[in-house]
Amino acid sequence: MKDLRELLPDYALGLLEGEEKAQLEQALQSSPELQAELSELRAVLYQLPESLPPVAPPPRVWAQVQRRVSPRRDFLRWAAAALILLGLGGFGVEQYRRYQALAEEQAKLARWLSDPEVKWQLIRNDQGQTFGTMLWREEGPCLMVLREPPPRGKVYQAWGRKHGAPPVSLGVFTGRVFETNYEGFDLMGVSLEPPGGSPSPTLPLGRVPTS
Amino acid sequence: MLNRGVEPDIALMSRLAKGDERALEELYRRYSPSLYALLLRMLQSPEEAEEILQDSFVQLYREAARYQPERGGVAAFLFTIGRNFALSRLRNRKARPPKIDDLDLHNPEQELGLWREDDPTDRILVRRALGRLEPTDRKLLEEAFFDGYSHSELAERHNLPLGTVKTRLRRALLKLREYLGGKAVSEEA
Repeated sequence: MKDLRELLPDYALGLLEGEEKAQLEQALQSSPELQAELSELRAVLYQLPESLPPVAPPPRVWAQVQRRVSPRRDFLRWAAAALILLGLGGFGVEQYRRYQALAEEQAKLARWLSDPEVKWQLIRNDQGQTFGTMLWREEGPCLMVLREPPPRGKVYQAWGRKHGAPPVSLGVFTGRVFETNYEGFDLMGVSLEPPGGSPSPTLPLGRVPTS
Repeated sequence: MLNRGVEPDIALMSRLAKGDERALEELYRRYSPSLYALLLRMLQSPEEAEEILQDSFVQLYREAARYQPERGGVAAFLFTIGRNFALSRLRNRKARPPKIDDLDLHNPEQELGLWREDDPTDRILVRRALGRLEPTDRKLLEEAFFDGYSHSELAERHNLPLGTVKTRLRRALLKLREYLGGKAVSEEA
């Protein structure tokens, strides 16, 4: 027994191999004294990490542990997504397409709003009536956000204009959100147009000076 | 050790054995900063330390039912899991990576775990006990524990006969037990 006791420190350190290891492990099964001594040595050994300053792990580690011990949560998320899709299937493909477009608009808006560099200004007409907001970043990109979708049978058309020059079409859109670039223009505007848009604005709604 | 919370570790382990994830969360809160520090020290790589930290707590969750309090404390149980994972990672490496001398404490992801209501008492006690060991014994013990060096690697690194390494390692651990308030040992140990 004395010999085996002497192997305990190496065993606790994980340095024991082969026959000695097997012999000790067998003895440990039937000897409460050896077990007690091993626990004591391990308790001492595992105080060594206490000599190091503790370091808080990044929060993602706990999130991953949770994900791995509760695969149930992933399943619930999957089931919820499947239910939404099934529900949408009932409404038909067109509704799903609209839902998807709306989700894309929301995602785009969320991305813009989360950017601390973004500035904004109201899109309004000469009478001060507002139709929406334009968000922009200094380097040129901008996002036009209209309060309402266009009325049935109409589309919105975005325009850029330089002082003294005719307006340039930047594209048409049927939703409430349109991403474009204001660089090189003094004014940005929105008009209501028949489907497909027009070569020049027929029913201008509002504008935003860019400088 | 760290167990100064309201609910003892053992009670948390028996809740964990029944699948209570909140018990796991509490154990994670108590021990992840120390275990992460150990893994960083052993592996010298934040990515691998994170990975093994994650594996260790998942393993703790799976093995909670097998935990026997009479065989040792929860901290030693968890740290044994983590250290064994790290050791097999180290042994699978072709070469050991160079040591990172200082962790970048300005990195927000590596803040000191002070939120854990860190009490430096244990740290001071352990460091003082280590400081009382004969310097080579201490070095051998730290290299075996933190770096996972085998007897023969230690013999080569320190230019010592294999038998001497074994004797010194045993002596270091038993002395440490004595200095940390355990049994006194005779020198021939």
